[in-house]
Parts: sequence; structure tokens; C-alpha cells
Amino acid sequence: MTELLRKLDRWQQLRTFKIAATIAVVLLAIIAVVFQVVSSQRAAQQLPTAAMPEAPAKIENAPPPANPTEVAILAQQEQQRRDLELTVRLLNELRAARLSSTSVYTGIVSLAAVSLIVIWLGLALTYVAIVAVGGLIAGPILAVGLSGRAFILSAEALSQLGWFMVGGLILAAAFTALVRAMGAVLSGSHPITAIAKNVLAEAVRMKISLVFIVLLIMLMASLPGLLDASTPLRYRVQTFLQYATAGSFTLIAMLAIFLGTASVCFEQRDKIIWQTATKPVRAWEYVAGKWLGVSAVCLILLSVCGLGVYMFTEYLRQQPAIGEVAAFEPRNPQEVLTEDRLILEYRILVGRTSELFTLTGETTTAISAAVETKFADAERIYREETAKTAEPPDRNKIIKQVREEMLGQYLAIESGKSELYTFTYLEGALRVGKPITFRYVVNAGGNLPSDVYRITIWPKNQPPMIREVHLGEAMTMTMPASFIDAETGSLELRIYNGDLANGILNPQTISFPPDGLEISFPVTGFAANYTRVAFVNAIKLMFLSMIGVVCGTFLAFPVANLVAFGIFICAESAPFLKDAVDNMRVEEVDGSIIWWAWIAEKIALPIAGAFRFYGDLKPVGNLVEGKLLPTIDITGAAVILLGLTVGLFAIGSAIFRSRELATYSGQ
Amino acid sequence: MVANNNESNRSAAGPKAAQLANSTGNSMGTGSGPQSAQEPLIAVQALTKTFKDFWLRSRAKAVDNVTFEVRPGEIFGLLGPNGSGKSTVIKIMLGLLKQTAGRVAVFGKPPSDVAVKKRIGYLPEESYLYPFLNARETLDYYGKLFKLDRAVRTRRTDELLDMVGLSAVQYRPVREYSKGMQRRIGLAQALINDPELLILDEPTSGLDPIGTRQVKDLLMELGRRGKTIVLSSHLLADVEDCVDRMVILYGGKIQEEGTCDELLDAHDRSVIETGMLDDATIAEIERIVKLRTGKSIVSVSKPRQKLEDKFVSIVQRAIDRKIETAGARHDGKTAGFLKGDAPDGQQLIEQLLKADVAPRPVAAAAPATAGPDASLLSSLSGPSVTEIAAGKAEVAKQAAAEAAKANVDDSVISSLLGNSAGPNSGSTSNKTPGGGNA
Repeated sequence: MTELLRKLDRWQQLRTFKIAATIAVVLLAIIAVVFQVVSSQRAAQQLPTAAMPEAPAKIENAPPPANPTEVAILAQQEQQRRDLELTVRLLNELRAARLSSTSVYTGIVSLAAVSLIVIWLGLALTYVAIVAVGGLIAGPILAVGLSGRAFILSAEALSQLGWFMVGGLILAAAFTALVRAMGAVLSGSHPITAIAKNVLAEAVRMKISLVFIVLLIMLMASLPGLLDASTPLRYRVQTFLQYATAGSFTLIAMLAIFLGTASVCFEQRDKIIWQTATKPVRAWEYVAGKWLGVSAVCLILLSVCGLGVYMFTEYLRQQPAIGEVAAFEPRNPQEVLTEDRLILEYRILVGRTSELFTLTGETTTAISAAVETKFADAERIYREETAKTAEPPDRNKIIKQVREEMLGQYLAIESGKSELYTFTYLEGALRVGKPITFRYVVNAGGNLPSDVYRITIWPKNQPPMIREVHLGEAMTMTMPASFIDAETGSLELRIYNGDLANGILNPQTISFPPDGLEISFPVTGFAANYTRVAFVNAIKLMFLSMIGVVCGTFLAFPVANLVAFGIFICAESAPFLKDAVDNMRVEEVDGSIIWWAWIAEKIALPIAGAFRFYGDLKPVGNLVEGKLLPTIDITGAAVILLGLTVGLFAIGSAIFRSRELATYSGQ
Repeated sequence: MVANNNESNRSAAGPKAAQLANSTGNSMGTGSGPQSAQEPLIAVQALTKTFKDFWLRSRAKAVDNVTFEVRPGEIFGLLGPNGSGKSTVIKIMLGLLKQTAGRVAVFGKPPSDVAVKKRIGYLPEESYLYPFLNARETLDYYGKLFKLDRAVRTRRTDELLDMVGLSAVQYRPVREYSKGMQRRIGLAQALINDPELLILDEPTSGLDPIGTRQVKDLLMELGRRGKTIVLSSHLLADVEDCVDRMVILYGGKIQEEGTCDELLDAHDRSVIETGMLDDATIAEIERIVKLRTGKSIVSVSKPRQKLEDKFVSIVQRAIDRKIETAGARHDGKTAGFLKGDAPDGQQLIEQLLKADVAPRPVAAAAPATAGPDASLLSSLSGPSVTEIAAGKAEVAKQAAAEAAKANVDDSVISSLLGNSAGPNSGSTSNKTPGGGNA
């Protein structure tokens, strides 16, 4: 059987076979296009467009209403109008794209192109086998499950199993294609590419690394089945993105370290290195080849997972959200876009950038004045003190102290009162024209979970909006970009501590943390943001691959793994470590040192500092929140990580060159 | 791939010719001779290697003040029992180990120099191969490390696979190979770059008798092409058949050094091989020997066929009957590029620009002083050798002409005796892998 498979594999790689298969695919594509042309001419389609329901007129420069009931009515009307304006255009665009015959042609051409690539990668029969397995095993299981009938397993379990198998086969097909393509890329007559290609072969043929790959594919294929269909669509998307992206990255990172160390360590242990080291291969070429090979494996897996995640997310996007009868079709005919859909489209499946509030000129002047006063007082006290036991006043310290104090005052609102917060540099949001998101965290008293406060958010020249808030939790609300002042690019929000419309006041003063008021707006789509996340993960994996390879050059496999995994864990947990150390008490109340804490701090701080650039990136967290990974952060981290990779590469090469690769055979 | 006896004899011509030359007294000796004027290809001077433990305490002195040279074009043997330091010396020559003291130069450069490694082929004492690659991929991989073009790699891979008899199983992963098959692919990878210097550590270990003979034939063929070969082994019969010169190591030190003849010739005995004799003839011969020399015949025996020859002939018959095998085939021919056939582009240019590698020296003269007493031979052989026995110069002349004509050297004594012994007939001082030995 194995011999037969090997023969088939060689057969599908023959040029004659490829040419014949290419002709077949091209003919099929031509037939499909002709068929589409004929059918599209027969049925000229009318693209349905969403009608704009009647909406209340926009209130221009309306003075703040004195009557609370009037405020509430205005707020409700404005909310309806805003929703309509924002979504009708998008909806029609989406429908048009889905029903366009151009997309059919694109589909045919894409399918033909993919088929040709598969054929010329020498995988035509492999894919036929995959399709056959899918059709003969996964297909019937899925069909029975979807029809609602139970057979041994429940219908739901059967459909989940069917999807799991289909997903696994698709991922396996993508994986084999990418492996073959990478093999072709690395087929040059150079030691570096030769060694890299060898690592690739090692990864897909050795059971140890195959375990990781199979686990990864199973994880990715099983995740969709774990999503709860009763939850809002946005949560399903967020859950899937969170687990799929973070889970796949963690598994691939483990594989990078494991494969990197194993490939180098086992080659030395099994003395295979003797054959390579006695060939004209320089030490740096060997290390570079190993790193390139491990990185190539990681990139392949990252691409497979990335494609899987992206495509399944897009699939989820086409599922009905809460309140929809079908995707983008609300159950309520008066509604154009449900809240679930709105949040999904404008807050999650986008790349948003954010701005914190800006201190007004008055506040800044007040801070400066307070600083001067306080500094002068401190100096006077110091001069008057004859003993001079205290240190002279530190201006920077005073500035920091005053700023914190005044900021605290500025971010606190007494019950029944209000404060104005200004957000600037929002020109980008105006250009994009998509809804902006206001995120706020309200604290009051002890932030009891049972307490629900009501606040009024009143944008300048717009009607006020009343919101119920859970204390200590991040809340969000969506506003149209038109709320932003087109001239200044700023948005002014007045926040009342209470329900202004109904005259309800909160019992205590509310406050916001310094980063608790934020305006964010989409600047890119989900695809662009996901690409950035994938890029960051790729850089991280390349760094981890080098750590694995370098550890393998001078350590035995178990030790090399331990060291490499230790570095990985330190790097991933650097932000947590920093927070933990910041909140750790090193001194008792009486001033005596807690030694264990002191030692832990001395160890943890350098580690947290060294890997902060790595941990602070948080690509998955940003992706799930729909936040754009800032270009400057990506560039900075990429430069640092690549620099470190090069540094490690130099160290590994030097170690490898100086090592005695043979051992005492008399041992 | 069974090499027939004629081919074996031909392939033995190089070293044996050199040995014949040595036996006349004008040979390489222990360092002199025609090649001594050339720069040594490998120079090992006062080489010492001490292995240390984790705490840098001396654990074992594997090599102790070893000095020798390997000259271009010779087949050099490193002999010694297990643990004598052979492999350590080789590993230092390849840069896999660093010497504690002394100096090693290969092609005049340190062993770690990458330029040096381009010209070396190495077969370790065991074939350490990637288990997940098949034979073709293995050779392709090592070819890439030498930056060989795809076309060259493909051609050489095909030829080498054919040569080592693994063409039929080339797509099976190496981990499924038997030890002997792995050894064959190991040997093939050592030859992928058509090396000038071939370093083989126990090359016949794990091979069947046919494989062993093939390796020996190959070594002699490469030797004829002017390749330099360093051979490490404790299988003395293998070494004896091939090498020009050797050192014998024990305890990390050189115990003996010299050519095979210098180390192996027994100067107090003569061996005469004829067809089957009856008891009366034997008694008559003994009488003549006693009469002429006062010595008795020590032993008279009926020689048995060598098991190796028997084995080879059985396999050859099986091959002729086209019996299938799942293992290595034994009817492969030496790869063309190793014989100098169908040269690569670069080689072709080089060959056009300069003369091809000089052939190994063949016997310039037959033994003049050594060998059996001519008058005794005369009395034993009758009139057919009378003319030859007339003068040693005439003998030498004829022997040289014979050697040049047939490119074999074991015919010297036969021609002296005037009998028509076949290719299996032995000689008094030399043996071939395929030849008999009285």
C-alpha cells in the first residue's frame, strides 16, 4: 500500500501528467464561463436595494433642551436617524457584491487558478483523494447531521463531526500545498536552502513534529463546533478569533521551539551532523539553514491557520446576527441594522485606532499654575528649614504629583454635575466616515456589582444619550462620524452624572480612570488588521525559531527545550510580570524588607523589561477588540525582534563553529 | 554487480604494480620514491588528542604524538584494533575534532577550511543518514551542499544509485534499509562530489562479501584515476588488498609504517602452485629441493576454493537467472563520472586545459633479485623456461612487457613458469580480491 502511494505520488509529479491535467482544468473552466454567460443573459437580475425608511430630521445646532422629556424624545429620534444613515449604504453594497455575476466569473477563474497551482505543485491526485475522502466519509455524515436525523450520534453531534472532518481536510489540503510550494522555493543548490528544505521534510515526515501539526489542524477544525449558536454573533466571532488565533500561535510557537532544538540536537546526537559538517558548509550557513527551515514550517502553519481563521470568520460574518432572519436582514422591518450586526461590522471586524481625551487649555493652565505654587511653597519651606534634613524640592516630582491630583479632579464628576471632555485628532475618522466608538469606564464608590448608574452623554450640537453603566466595566457606544467637528477634527462630549432626561441622579460621585475615556474609529478592514496580526506573529515565530536552533547548538535536547521554553514563557508573560511586580509589596508597613518579594522583584523586573517589547504587542487581544495594531508598534517590535534574531544567529554560529561535533568514541 | 575476475585483476593493477615496483628495490619505500617529491596531501605532525570530561580533567589520550603523511594518488591505510585512535585521527583530519597538540594540514590548509571540504568525500564508520529521506533525496541533499547543478546532481545520483545497486529501492526511506544498504548509500554520498581525497572509515563494515569486493574494486579503480584514499579498518584482509602504504596504530601511537610488501613479505619461504600432482611427482620435487637446497618441503596441500569466490559465483548465477531481490542489487557498474566518463562541463574544461590525471605507475621492471631461484624453477618446469632463465635482464624485460600488455601483474611468475594458469592463479607475492592465493 505504501509503495503504491509512493508510486502515485511520483506519477502526479510527472510533467506529462501535469500537462494533461492542466488541459482538463482549462477546458472545464471555459465550459463553466460559457455556461455562466448564457445563464446570466437569460435572467437579467435586478439588484435589490434597501429602501430608506422615514426618519426624523437631524437637529442642527439645537440649544440644550430644558425639558427632560423633550431630551429623551430627541435622543430616541436621533438614534433612529443615525442608524439608518450609517447602514443603508453598507447593506446595499454588501448585497450588490453577493449577487454580482462578476463574482461568479472571479470564482471560476480563482478555482481554475488554484487547481492549476495544485496540479503544478504535483498534488493533483492528493487533492482528488482528499475530495474523495471528504465526499465519501465527511459528506454523508454532514448530510445526515444537517438533515436533523440521528444515527448513533445525535444530529447535532453528526453535523459537528462532519464539519470537523471537512475543516480538517481543507486545512490538510492547504498544508500539503504550502509545504510543496515551500519545497519548490527552497529547491536551490545552496547549503542554506538545502538544509532548510531538509528541515521541512523532517517536520512533515517525523512523527514527533507531525503530532503538533495534526493537533493544530484538529484544534482549528474543532473550534467552529464549539461555538454557541445562541450567543450574539459578535461574541461568537470574538470567541473564535480569540481561541483560534491565540491557540494556533501557541501551538506553532511550541513547535518552533521543539523543532528548532530537536532538529539540531538530534542531528548531533545521531551523528548525522558529521556528514553535513564534513561538506563545504560554513557554521553560519548551517545555523541559517536550520532557522530558515523551522521558520518556513512555522510560516506554512501560520498561513494555513490564518487562512482558516480568516475564511471561517468571513463565513461567520455571513450568518444571521441576533435579531436577523438572515445575514444583514433584521427581523424587525423598521430596523436597518441590528445592534449585534452594527457592533460586529464597526467595532470588531475592523482595525480601529483610538484617541484619549485631551486636556483643555484651561486645565493645562491650571495645572501649570498649581505646579508653580506648590514648587514655590516647597522651596520656601526648604529655605526656612535650618536643619536641612529634607531633600531640596524636585520639580519633576511635583509636576507629576500635581498632574495626577488635578487629573483625578478633572475625571471626577459629582452627582448631578457635568464635565466636558474633548477628543482631538479625529480627522481620520471623518475621512473614513464610518461610525466611531466611545469607550468609557465608570468607577463609583467600591464599584459594587449590584450598583447600576445612569449617565448622560451629550455630544456638542447633538442630542444627549442616556446610558446605564455597570461600575468598573468597560462600556461602549457607537456614534456617527458626523458628530466630529469638521473644522477642528475634534469631538466634545459633556458627561452628566445622572439621567438628565428623567431627572435621576446617581448617589455618589463618579470618576474615570486616566485611560477610561477613549474614542476609536475604524481605519482599516478586518483583512488588513488580521494581516498585521499575522505579520507580528510571524516575526515572533521567527524569533522563537532562532532561540530553539541556537539553544540546540550547544545544549542537549531536554536542556535546550527547557531554556527555550523558559524564554518563550518569560517573553509572553512580560506584561503580566511587570504588572505583578508593580503591585507587589516589597516592604512591610514598618519599612522592613520582605526578602522573598525583594528577590522576586530583582529577578522579574529585568525579565519583564527585556521582553516588554514582545509582550506589549498583544496582537490577539487587539484583533479580538477590533483595534488596529499601530504601524509604529509593529515596526518597532519587528526591528527589535529581528535585531535580536540576528544577534542570536551570530552567537549560535560562533558556538557552532567552535564546537567539536564528534565525541570520544571510546566512551 | 558482481565484478568478474578479469575486472578484479585489472582493477588491482594500480596498487599491485606499485608493489611490484617496490619489490624491486626502487620503490616508494617508507617515504622515498617517485611521489615523495610531491607535497603531501595530508600532513599530520606530532598529533595528540586528549579527551577531557566536563571538569576538563583528562579522560583518555586517544592519539599520542602521531606523525605521517599521505601523498597524492596513494591509497593509505590506517590500521589498528578498536580504540587505537584511527577514527580520532580521521575526525581531526576532517575538522570534526580539534587536536590537543600537533598540526594537521589537508591540501596544505587547516581541516576546518571550507575550500578543503569541497575536495573531500567522507564515509564515517557507520552511515549516519537522515532516516526520513529516501536514497535519491539523500544524494540530492548532499549534492546541494556541494552546490552541484541540478542536472549534475541528477546524473550523478542516477549513476551512483546504479553503482551501489539501490536504483530499485531509491524511493524507500533510508530508515527502511538494511545496514548494508545504508552503507552503500553512505558510500554513494561520499562520492557525489567526485572527491580528490576520499576518507573512508571502515568502508566494508556491514557489507556482504560482494559489496566488500565491490568497494575494494571501486577503491582500486579510483586509485587508478589518481584519487587519494585514506582507509581506516581493522579488517586486515580488506586493507591488504587495496592499500599502497599503511600505518598501524595501537594505543594512539604508530607501531609500524610502510608498504604492504615491507610489512608483509616473508623472506624465508617460497610457494609454488601447479596443477594437481601425484605422490611420486611430489616426492621427486622434494628430492630435488633437498638436493639443491638441503631444505625439506614444509607442506603440500590441495588448495580449496575461497568461500568468497564461491559466494560470488552463486550470486552471479542468481543474477543471471534474473531472480528478484528486495535489497541491493549487485550488478551495478562503477559510476561514469568516477571513471572519468561523460565529464561534467567544468571537468571537461579542466581536461581540455590540462592533461588528465596521470595514471598510477605500473611496473617498470620485473623482480630482478627477489623471487624463486631460476635454476630451481628451470629444473622443476622443464625446457619451457630455459630461455627465460638465460638472464635476469631478459626476465625483467619480458615481465615488464607482460605487465604492460595485460595490465595485470600476477602473470609474472606464471610467465616465468611458462604455464597457462587462468586469472585465478596466484602469485608468490601479491594477491588480488578475485585472485587465488596458494
